[in-house]
Amino acid sequence: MYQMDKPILIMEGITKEFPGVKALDGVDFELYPGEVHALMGENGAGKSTLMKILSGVYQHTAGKILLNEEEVTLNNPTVAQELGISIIHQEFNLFPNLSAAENIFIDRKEIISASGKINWSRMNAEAKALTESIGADIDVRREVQYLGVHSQQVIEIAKALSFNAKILIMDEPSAALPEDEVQKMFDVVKQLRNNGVAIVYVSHRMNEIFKIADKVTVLRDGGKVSTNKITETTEDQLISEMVGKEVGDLYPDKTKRIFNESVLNVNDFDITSKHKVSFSLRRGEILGFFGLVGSGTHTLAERIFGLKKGKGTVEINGKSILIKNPKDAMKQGIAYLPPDRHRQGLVKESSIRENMTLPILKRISNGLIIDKKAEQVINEEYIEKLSIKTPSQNQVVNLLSGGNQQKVVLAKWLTTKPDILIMEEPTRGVDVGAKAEIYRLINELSLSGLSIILISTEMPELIGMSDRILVMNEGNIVNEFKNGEADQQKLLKEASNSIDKMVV
Amino acid sequence: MANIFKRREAPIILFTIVLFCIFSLISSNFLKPDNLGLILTQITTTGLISIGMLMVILFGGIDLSVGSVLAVVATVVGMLVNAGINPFVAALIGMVVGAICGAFNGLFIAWFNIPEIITTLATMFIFRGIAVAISGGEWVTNFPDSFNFFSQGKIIGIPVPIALFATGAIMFGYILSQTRFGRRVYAIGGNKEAAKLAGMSTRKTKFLVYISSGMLTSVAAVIYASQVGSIQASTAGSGIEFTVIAAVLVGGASIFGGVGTMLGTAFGVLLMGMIKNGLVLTQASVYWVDATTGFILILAIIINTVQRSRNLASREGDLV
Repeated sequence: MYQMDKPILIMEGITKEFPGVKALDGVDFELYPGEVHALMGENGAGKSTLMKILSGVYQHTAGKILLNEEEVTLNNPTVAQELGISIIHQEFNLFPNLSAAENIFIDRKEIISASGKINWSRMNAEAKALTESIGADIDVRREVQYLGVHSQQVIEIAKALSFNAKILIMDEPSAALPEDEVQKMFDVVKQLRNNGVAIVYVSHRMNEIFKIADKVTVLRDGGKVSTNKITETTEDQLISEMVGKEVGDLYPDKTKRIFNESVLNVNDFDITSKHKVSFSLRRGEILGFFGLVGSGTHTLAERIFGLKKGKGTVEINGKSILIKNPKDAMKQGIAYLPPDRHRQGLVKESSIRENMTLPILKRISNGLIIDKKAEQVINEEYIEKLSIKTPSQNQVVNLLSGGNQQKVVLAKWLTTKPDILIMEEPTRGVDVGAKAEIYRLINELSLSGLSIILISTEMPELIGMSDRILVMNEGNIVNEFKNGEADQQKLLKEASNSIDKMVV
Repeated sequence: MANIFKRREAPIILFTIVLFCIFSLISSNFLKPDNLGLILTQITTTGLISIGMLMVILFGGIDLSVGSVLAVVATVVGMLVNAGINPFVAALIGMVVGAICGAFNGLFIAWFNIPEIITTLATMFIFRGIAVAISGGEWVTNFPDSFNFFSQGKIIGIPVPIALFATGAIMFGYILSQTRFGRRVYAIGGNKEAAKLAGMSTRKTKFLVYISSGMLTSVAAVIYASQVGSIQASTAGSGIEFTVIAAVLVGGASIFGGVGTMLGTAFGVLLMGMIKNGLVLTQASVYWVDATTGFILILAIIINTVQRSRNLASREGDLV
């Protein structure tokens, strides 16, 4: 059995350097059997890097890892798994077309009989035993696609346990779960803890941490800030530890600006059939939206741009408009910078030139044939305006750095000369230099009268850039902060409070 | 110079030139004008079909039905000219038939979202069956002399098949590189989501591509009927889809869509025609043509893959 008083895992002085970036700097982390240890930090604080090192995906550049007081080298995920370290990702890695039991024992020699055949009855029995050991009741013969999200998570956990997992990393385990299944997940986690498994619980959600964790470690900027017993810390303390120093001068000076004319009015607009929102955007304003994953900010953006169908009209410059598709939205002067430039932003095998003019082909053609000269001129203009670093406009975008790729997507939408620009995660995955340039540009655009909806999960960015911030939680706008009122504590609190608690 | 080698078509063009030199050295007959003309004439059928196939492959799709479309159109046109209809009118009617076949494919693919490979596998049987049925299983042959124009006639000194292929290639090369339609094809094939966000209609573009492909195939069918002189509906053009797909891929197009050019495809077609001709002339056995084509296909795709991954490796350092 395990000894509660001896750490099962000690990570000492873990440092990870990527070319040009120090993602982790001398982080210490200890884990005891039978504890739920929450790991918190903002995006980019180093949580996922640390967990990737622990699960063998990355190798640390300095420091050491001790497992049961013995130093180990985790060169790859298989080694980590064999040593009893498993990770449950936010998105599950399951085969929907195979049964629960098959998923748990996929490609494992344990369930192969001497004659080389799969021992089905043994496999099903063991799968059943594993799921029951964490208090779940699942028909292990059913195909995974017919099982609920909670059951799928149980299967992932059972799979980890089938490798005799002693350390289980759970990355935002509640993110994929519907509200009513979170409690079930907690029950499973508690059962795991009673069975002596050490759990690293990575989450943003404050209320969950206080419900389930025994200890909490906070990371910031690649370093460890603190480790505390959950009973010896408070929500406010954790938030201020996560946030640390105040935002620097990456952001423009937001002097008092006055906005009069409202450009976009959204009244009782359906996000889902259950959730409606109302807000207004004024000319030249940068309106920030903050919400955790699943809060509805992304759906809101897609709805306004006509990517997702639903009920409700929006009012643009006083006129009530029904937007059915992106074309309608563009006609109304709306542009949308999507959160994932790889999936939705770029045609990666095509050149900058071809990407940039994608939404305005009609404007730069005689209806049929593209005016190459006009296209070239527009490209020159925006390459200079956004300082896109490229040898030529014929460069295939695949070959650009992340920051320059993001600038191409932004430029593409600016060529439509929008009145309203919806931006989602405009600086995701770009380096600090490009970040600063994008912020400068956003600010210039707003000063020239462009109205901007800025949806971001990076709080410093939101606070630094926005004239006003609306916080969304579970499909509703729950609060509004004017310029200067918001700080990260308040934002996080509003966004992670569960609604029922707020009503009380 | 360095820029030429960075072009995606570079490997295939280089490869064609090298092979051209090798064949010229081995066989004294290879370089003769008659032989070069023969090569060009022989590739016109696959060439015309490959233009449509290129667009389909740019979408990340595939069209298995082109051989059967060829059979239908060749049969229809053959029967019409034998019934005394003017060959040009018959050819135009053939193009309408080809367009209908393409629209049929496009309807299921673009509007009912049935995967290309399944739709065209089904229509491959359907069109072939229709061709056999309308011909009653009999040879369609003994065409009037006037029909020979499509194989032996000349327009300003250029043999008609070559002129038609050249016109088609130049026209669609222009459409793909210079027009909104062409840009949409690349955008939708390269990233459907991004194209959707830019307000493009995937369905309309796909539908038009399949109609164009059907019409190009029907032009090929007219040339084929005129060249061969007799049509057996159950075998005409069967297997040609694979030769055409191979030519497009050899020409540097990506089977995943979004990548490929008309120039590359034209060289792909030329290369494959040259191999066939060269192997015969150099008295390597005719029986080795297929195997050689297969090897060249793999080789060309390896070269393309290496070129691409080398380009990607030269990208600036990016965090994962």
